[in-house]
Amino acid sequence: MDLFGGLLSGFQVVLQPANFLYCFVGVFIGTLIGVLPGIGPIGAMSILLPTTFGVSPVSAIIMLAGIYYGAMYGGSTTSILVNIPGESASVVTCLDGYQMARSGRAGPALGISAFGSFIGGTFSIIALMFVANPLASVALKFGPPEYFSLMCLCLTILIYLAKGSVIKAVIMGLFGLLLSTVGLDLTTGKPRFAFSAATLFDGIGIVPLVMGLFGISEVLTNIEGPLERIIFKSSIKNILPNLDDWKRSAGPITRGSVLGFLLGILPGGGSITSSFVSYTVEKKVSKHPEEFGKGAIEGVAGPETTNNAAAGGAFVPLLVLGIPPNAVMAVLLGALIIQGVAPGPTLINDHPDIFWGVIASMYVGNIMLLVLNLPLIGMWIKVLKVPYGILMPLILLFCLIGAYSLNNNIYDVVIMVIFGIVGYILRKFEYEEAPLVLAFILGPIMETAFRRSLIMSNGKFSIFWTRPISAACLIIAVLLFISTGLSIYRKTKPKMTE
Amino acid sequence: MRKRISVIFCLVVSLFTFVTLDSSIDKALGAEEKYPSRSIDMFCAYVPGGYADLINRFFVKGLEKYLKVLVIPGNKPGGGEVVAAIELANSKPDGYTVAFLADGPLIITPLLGKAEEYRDKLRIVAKLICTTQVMAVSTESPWKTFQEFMDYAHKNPGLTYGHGGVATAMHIRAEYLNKIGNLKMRGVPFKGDPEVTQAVLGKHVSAGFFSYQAPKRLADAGKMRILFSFTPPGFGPDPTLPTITSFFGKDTPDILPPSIYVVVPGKTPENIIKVLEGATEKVSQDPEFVNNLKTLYAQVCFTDSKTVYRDVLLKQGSIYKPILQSVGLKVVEGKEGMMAGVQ
Repeated sequence: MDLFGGLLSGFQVVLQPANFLYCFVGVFIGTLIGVLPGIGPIGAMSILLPTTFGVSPVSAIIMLAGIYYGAMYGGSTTSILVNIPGESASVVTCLDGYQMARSGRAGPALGISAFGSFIGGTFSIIALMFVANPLASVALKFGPPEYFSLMCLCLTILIYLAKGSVIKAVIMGLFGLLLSTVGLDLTTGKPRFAFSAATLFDGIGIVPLVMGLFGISEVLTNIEGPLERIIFKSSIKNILPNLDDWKRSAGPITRGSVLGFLLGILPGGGSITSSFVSYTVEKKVSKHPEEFGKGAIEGVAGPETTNNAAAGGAFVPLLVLGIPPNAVMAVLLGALIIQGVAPGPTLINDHPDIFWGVIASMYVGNIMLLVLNLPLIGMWIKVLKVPYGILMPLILLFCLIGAYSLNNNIYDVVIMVIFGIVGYILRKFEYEEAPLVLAFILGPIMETAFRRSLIMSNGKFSIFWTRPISAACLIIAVLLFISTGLSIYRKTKPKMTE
Repeated sequence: MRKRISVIFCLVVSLFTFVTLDSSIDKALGAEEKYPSRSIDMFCAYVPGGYADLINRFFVKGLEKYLKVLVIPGNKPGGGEVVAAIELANSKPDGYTVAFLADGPLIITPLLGKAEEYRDKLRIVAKLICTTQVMAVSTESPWKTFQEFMDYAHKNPGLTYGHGGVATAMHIRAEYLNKIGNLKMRGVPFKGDPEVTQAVLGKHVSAGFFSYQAPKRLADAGKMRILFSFTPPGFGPDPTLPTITSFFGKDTPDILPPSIYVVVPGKTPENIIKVLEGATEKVSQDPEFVNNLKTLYAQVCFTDSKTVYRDVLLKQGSIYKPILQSVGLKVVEGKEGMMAGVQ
């Protein structure tokens, strides 16, 4: 079946009333889940999984897939409005989105986030159609040495995340790496820093950590201020992005689409890592990098585009090889298996209705999400007018419920509260959370990849530079590190000679 | 107006208090309820969508049919199933919290001495499922049979294999094969079957050990080749695959297939355990359940609670012990290294 024939047949499937409804239900629930901090798409998908038993496989997958990419749309809302990432992939949006909201530009932030998500999502679907197969083969070439080198490259970018002191950013990065060592060591099976608590055997959860560092600490910081404080000094106007916003966002959206899709294909790459990388790339190429962290629209457009493009990219290994690159895709895989469908290399031939139906549903779903989210901007902005005395306790309540809902485990709530206090203290001493979060995410991937590589090579380090992809990543990482070091030296040299 | 609201509020509170007290009084007076009389929580120790989660959902459907109450599936992942085991051990022993646990927390973790928090607080109702685990290679590799692979491994020691985690049931089987076949392979730990699959397809390891369903799909698509199966002869979805006894001889101690058990808190009354055991046995014979399991290449292997302790846990433990020691893990000897109740 040729591409366009397949796509047309896919649209035929998805535009049937029942499937159209399932698509809408999926994206609607996904958006809601994305907005609510903590409760992620995995929770929603697992609750709705039994409802798919009695429906056709294509309807089941359309709905569940809609929840996933819908959550990526909704995740930016609370990041922008109240500095709490609704989804862990929306952590980076907090850095500039929230600052935009504080200066009365919540509308353009939400608007560009919605448009960027739409464009990124649509791009990834088109790419999925045309290049899924060859890219799946490329993804397989990434083994442990390649992952280690790629993570080294990604870690060098944490320097760029810093608004202020680079040294403080590095300290936070090291702290993040340290926190990432908590849990069962994959290589030896022995617990590290778990203090015999079974709940820590899997390490500290990223979601409670992020909710604590950003959300709870924000609540604690605001408790210090007067209750009657006016939230924003300027009035909220222009609820959609203007021409200047679009000019500034065009580049980040374009770059974010490509970057997100490529990184989303890699297991472990995913939405979170790609959004950090996008932010850093935009800061690096921007003519006004000093604006980042203070409300630069590029800092919202890039990451939000990227995380939706990555969501689309994550479908590549699942649909082409039957390998779920993350936990969300694992639920989709489970749903397909329950329906008696085995995703993998033969899916497109054995079940073309499912393959093309899912792709067509993603087009339709992305349009639905744009139509759903844009009119809601006016409503979301009104949240900012809620008095702090009501808003902060509500935020706290949602965070507590969200943290517990992850695994029905009270210790997730405890971890969130602890990191809320840690985040508050870090803010007082002007240490930034973003480098910590990035290092926390990348640390385990880097460590396990490093140790697996050495097991594979029987202890020889040459495995990292004798494999071409790994060598290329390491060289880029070293060059980036040197170039950053030189530019910091050039900036500080005049001060030193004075 | 305010008075009306106050009255309504008081009525609501009174109603709520009455309902709560009513059930409390019944319990205080020791009123016997027929079991089951309300919904049951049935959780597994893995993330949603995973293999064990899917089996749990199929089982839940069957259990609802025979117990005639709502059974709610849940997930308590983490810590190699230990989180789920501890959660179950601390649950009320009234038969309304049940879990699906595998060899990990019931055999391996006690052997490693990490089960103190639940070792004597759980009771196995029945063994229900046996799963098939296999060894597979990429179709681009030169080995077409296990014999060819073994011959190559003997001449070229140091081949690598991927497995789903240290001290998991899969790792133990892989090391067992490594030992009896003298394969001299190095194990590379990954986190679950998907990562092992990717490593094998990308040829970053020579072979992979995983649950049957992942390589089976890829074998059907011509991307993988399954060379060995850890099931007793004639058991498992592909009886033509070589197994421990069929390849190495009948006298070679066999390792039972990894199993999944229905478990309750230790102090659950015997009459409730009997009801659950009976329902589990009926589900194991239900054609819909058996067919559903086939989609996951799992098989029913029902064993009642007495036989499980006597024949399964003890026997498997004795085979797992030396393998765990051979990979450098410290094993607890004697009864302290087993679930309470193993004879």
